[in-house]
Amino acid sequence: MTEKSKESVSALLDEEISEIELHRLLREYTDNQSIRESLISYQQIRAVVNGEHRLTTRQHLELHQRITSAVDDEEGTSVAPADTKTPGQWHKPAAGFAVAASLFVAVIVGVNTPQQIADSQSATGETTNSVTDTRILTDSEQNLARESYVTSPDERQLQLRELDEEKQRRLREYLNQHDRMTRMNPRDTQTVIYDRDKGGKN
Amino acid sequence: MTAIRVVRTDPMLGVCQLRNTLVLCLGAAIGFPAVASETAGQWLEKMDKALHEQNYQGTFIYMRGSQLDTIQVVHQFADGKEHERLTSQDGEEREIIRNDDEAICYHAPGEQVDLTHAVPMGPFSHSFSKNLATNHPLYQVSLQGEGRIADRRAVRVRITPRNRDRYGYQLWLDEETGLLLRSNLVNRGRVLEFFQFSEVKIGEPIESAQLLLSLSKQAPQHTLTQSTQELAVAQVKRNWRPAWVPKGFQQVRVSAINGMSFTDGVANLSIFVERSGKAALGDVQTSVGGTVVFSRQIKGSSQQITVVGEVPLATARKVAESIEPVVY
Repeated sequence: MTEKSKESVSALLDEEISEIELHRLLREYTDNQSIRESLISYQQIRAVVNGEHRLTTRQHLELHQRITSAVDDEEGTSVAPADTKTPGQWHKPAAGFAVAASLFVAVIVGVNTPQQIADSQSATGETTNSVTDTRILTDSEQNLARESYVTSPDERQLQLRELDEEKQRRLREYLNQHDRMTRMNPRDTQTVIYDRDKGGKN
Repeated sequence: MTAIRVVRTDPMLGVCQLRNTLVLCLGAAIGFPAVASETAGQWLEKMDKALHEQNYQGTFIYMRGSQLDTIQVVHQFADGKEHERLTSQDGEEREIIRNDDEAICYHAPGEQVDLTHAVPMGPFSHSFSKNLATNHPLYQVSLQGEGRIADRRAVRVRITPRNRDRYGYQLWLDEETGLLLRSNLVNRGRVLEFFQFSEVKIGEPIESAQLLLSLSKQAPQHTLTQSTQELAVAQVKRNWRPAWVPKGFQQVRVSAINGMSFTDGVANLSIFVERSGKAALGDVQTSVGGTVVFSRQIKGSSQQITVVGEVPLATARKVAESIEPVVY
């Protein structure tokens, strides 16, 4: 798996992935075993971090089959013949792919629909984040999944990788300088105090 | 005119950033199991000491924003010196060799080296220094029961900020030695960064061969620690300064030549002011895990202010907006 794919997988689980990245990752997911395995292990780590329980490995593999089928179906119906390039047809691939993408996010990130939560509660008597239902989501569920995925805590905040290369390079330089400063020897981190100290006032 | 005087920090309350890499910690009383009578502060003191003085080897996972890395670590303390080797277990082949304060990153031969890559050295760039342990006024430190990490019993310590302008931490320390086994960097209940050993051996002898670089010495390499050419002592006169930093943050004596650095003993904050050049950054805000970057161009000027730190975005923005000119 490439560094870029690895970053995209992490971003997906952070629910911070861009639409372009999501589409690229979805295409890779369907025919790249290492990405599928990484998604499983990453998600399990994420579940540990958040104290949640999500899909088991077996459930992941079952869902993989369904996602692959969904992508294949959509790609199969979305190819426009070269001589019939009407606007509506050209829009169809993107729209179809978006459905697969929202399904992908819903499954991998573990978005719960009210029904899934209810199912889970009735089955276990408690609320969990487990996706216990492996059926294809309905339109309303897909909308909910899409909405949940795009609603980040701070929507205005760009991801570093979304910036152009030059900006990324410069910001990474600042980040690395900052990192190096924080790792400095304690003897270099003595502090200074301004005589006219405005700092430290909230 | 703004005069500055240098104050040497009490070494026992040192505003130290964790040195280079790995954390881990050993209790002052090696061989004595944890006792309930020890306070959260005492546990942090153990952690700080062990950072430098314990042998350990193992594998840890470090998740920082969209980055997730698995790293193998070997850390040796011998003759008063630290030696460490970090090996990435996934993605690009990289090794970091650290001897005390000098750390060099080696890349696999033939790889196209991006010197601006992130360095997954663990959460230890975010300091947990001794002053945390001694009733730090800006954080509340408390014990939160016990847990089990990497097949070892752990004591849970929570570090809660008293103000919302900084983050908190949840730590799991090895009950036997005080070593940090797991940490969460938390903002209002949301985990921003995560570190955890998946397996670890503590206190066993480390052979020198375990610390040797496995990649070719001709492998592309670069130094990770700040070179002296890039540093400037705080007495350097700058034509700007922040009018506001969060309570408890103090400027460190040595900063990057193009910036100033501050710390409250736990979190760090760097401010850079430079000419924006041809490719202006404009107004940008982003984050990598718990580290935020807020950059803005000063109106009517070619100067670009960039604030980087382990603080919430609103705090970084407030610092950036407080930058004011200084006339000597």
